[in-house]
Amino acid sequence: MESLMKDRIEQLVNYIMKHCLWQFHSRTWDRERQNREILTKTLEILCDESVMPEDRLDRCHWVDAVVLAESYRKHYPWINNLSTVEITSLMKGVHARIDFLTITGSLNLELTDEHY
Amino acid sequence: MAYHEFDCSTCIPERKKHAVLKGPEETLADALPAGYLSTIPGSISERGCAYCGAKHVIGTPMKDVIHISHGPVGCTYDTWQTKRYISDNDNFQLKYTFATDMKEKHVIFGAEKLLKQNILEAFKAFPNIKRMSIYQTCASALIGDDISAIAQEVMEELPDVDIFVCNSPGFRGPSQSGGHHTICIAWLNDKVGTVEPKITSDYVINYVGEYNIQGDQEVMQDYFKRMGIQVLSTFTGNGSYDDLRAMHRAHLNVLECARSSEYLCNELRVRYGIPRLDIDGFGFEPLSASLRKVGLFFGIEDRAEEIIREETARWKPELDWYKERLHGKKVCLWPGGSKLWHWAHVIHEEMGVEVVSVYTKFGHQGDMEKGISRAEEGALAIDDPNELESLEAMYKLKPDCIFTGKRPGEFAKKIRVPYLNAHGYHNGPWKGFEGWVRFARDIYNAIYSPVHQLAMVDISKDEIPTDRGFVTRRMLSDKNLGEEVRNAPGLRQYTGKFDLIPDLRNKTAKDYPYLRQDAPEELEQQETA
Amino acid sequence: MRKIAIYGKGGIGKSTTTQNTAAALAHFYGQKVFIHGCDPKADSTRLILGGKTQMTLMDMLREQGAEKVTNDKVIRKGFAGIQCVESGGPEPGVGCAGRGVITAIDLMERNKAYTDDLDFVFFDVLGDVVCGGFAMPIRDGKAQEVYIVVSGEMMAVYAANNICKGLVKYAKQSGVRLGGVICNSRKVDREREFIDEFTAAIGTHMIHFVPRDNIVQKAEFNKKTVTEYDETQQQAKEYGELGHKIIENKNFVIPRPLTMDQLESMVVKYGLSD
Repeated sequence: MESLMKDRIEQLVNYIMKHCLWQFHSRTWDRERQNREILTKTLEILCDESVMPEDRLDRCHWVDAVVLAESYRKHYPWINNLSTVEITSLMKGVHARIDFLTITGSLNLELTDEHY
Repeated sequence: MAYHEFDCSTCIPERKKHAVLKGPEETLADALPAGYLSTIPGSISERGCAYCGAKHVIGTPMKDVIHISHGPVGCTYDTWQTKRYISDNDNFQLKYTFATDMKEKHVIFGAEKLLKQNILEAFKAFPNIKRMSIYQTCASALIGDDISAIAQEVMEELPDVDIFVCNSPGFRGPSQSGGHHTICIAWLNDKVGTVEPKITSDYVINYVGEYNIQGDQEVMQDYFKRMGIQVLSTFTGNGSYDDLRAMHRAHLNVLECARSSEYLCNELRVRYGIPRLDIDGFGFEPLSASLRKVGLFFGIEDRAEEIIREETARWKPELDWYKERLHGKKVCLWPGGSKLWHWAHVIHEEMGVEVVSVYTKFGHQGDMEKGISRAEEGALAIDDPNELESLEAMYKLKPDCIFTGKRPGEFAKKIRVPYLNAHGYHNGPWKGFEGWVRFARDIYNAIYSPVHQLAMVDISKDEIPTDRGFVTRRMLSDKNLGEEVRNAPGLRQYTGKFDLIPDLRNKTAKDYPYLRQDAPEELEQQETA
Repeated sequence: MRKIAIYGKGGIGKSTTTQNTAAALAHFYGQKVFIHGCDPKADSTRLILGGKTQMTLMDMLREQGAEKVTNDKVIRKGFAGIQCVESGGPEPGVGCAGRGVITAIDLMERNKAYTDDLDFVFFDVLGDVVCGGFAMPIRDGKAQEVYIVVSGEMMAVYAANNICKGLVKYAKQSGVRLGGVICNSRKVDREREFIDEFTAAIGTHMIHFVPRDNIVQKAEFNKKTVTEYDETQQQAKEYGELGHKIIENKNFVIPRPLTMDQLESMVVKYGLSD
């Protein structure tokens, strides 16, 4: 069960790494915000919660989340059969893994530069 | 992922950190090439300088502007009609090149008078052009000419002109990338917010990091306009100086390039609250997703879907014709910066080619993160390669084609590897649905051109066969294809025009019904009615 | 915030005067002061910091690149809360110190180091305005006031006159003005009269006559300004007086530098008096 979960997280993470750009903003603080906002919204959309972007900055995250959730449903149909609890734990894993790959485990030396 | 050491670079041990082989089960956290560092002495790099990056890459695509170099005339070498960022005002910025022609005496005595005289002469010679960008060079930067003060002086004397000053001498930063940053931030600080635009739609974007190579911008702008979106400005391809001064009024920044454009968008976000949406204009799937995202942002995704449906139906059969014939061909994706990740996954998925290597001349580690993530396992990722490393990689990887700039392109030809110009294109535009088919056609033409077979013959040794005659690309590409593919009824070669841009430029308001309908005056009337 | 550039012939005592004045401004008048040393020797803040700074802005730039330079890495706080930064620069005889000045000031502005809560920013500039780089502190948006340090020695006055020529050029472009001339006495005969006549001739005033006092050297040996070393000394009060005059100063002009002939005859007048 655990390995199935791990495998599924890996599939979803790979999809992001291959097809998305939002996780690769140039600095740590930008990446933290992007990952948090977009993945939280993706989770909510996958759980059929209604997501109401607060303002246009937030709406931009929502847009990326909508398209990601659609792609997940299309390419990984098993996701449609999961319960809310399962999706939550799955996306928590995805978030942690993406944070690792793009922030905490990243070897990109420019992430912590204070200036653009 | 493991660092890769080139045989030719064992004498430059620092180089080892600049190349990585993407191995199985490995991630970005295992190894990442060093990037945006000074070129190591002894390594003959393919890079340009920060002045070149500011002026020739980012600045000059701006179309209604006199672009003048304040420095020795050599700094403008190879700038006259050689670039391919076209514009719809008869290519003014390509047709004329300006330099102040600094000489030794100006270095000693200061070149501010010379600059002023040049500015006045240039405006006099082109009375219809009222905008100017001045680019500092190494020489004028070292002697400390105060270009901004001169520009100010001229603007006071000639109230109808506006001048932008870019202080990005060649030595600023390790590569042209340093110049990209400098000009982006300078534009933001000095010019954005100084013009109030006319807003004609409820959906207003800046299109950032798009340089209109062979018409890319015009293709994308057509899609946006078909969706009813006002493209307030394009930074900078086919872009107008005054439109770009009004960037602060857009609702969304649609971003396509890397680094410096990211910084620009990030600052526009901080200062004016404009969100940044990163998109891909290349490839059917990424472009479709991108148009949908822009549509979703404004709540007009149905319009995006309409375009996607129409364009995909029109062009997919032609893309697939090429995909059948390019399947399994090995390519090296060796551009300057952003195309490494724009193309890495999608040429594999949509054209069937294998990307055996990605590299960047001046990209940052962030570009490499994207590129390596998108490339398949086994790809060799190289930062700032030197000529010998590129040669070694080609001998080892035996690509069928490489996509790169003209400098490595030339030596690739010597070892009979076909090359396509990743910066200037061959028969572009390559953006958009039709453009993507044109790219596939260019790859096809490059790989299957019979000329390469002729070039393989060593006429000093080999017997020249006289029993073989005429060969076409089609004969070469279809040799091993089954009948069901060769004459598949659903597939066809490119059927577009030689040049697709004139038709776009001839479009009128009636070709953009959404754009007219969304004019705010009419909307207001509707609301009050 | 007032941004002030201090110019003057090499060895005239610019750094000593700047630091002692800054210390007095901060100590006696509670002013918030920032000193940006623009001399490649990087000794413009030694008396405030109690020793030479180890890492200059240019060192940082050379080793780590412009993106890594942050305010907290290069700005040091010294006596009376005075903030100090040293541009640094190349070894004598190599490189381009002028370009170093340009780069350093650009970088500090980009990093917003000159914060709004400051009362005074001093640019302590190397010797003479020998090239465009050394004019950087008086360009548009940078220092608005200039004070020139002189003594009654002929060469110091020559240099001051030259600096005025540079000032005239930039006065038009950037609005920079001459706030006055500071006489750092060398105990030359009729020094005060000479500088009075010179300053009147170029259209400015001698803002203060700082008498010569060995206590300055003594404090310097101890890596201190006079005010920090012993605030009860008369010399500390002199610097306080100079500081006060700068606070109150309203006399800002575009100077009228003398021709060589005019200058020569003035020098002859005072030189021949022996």
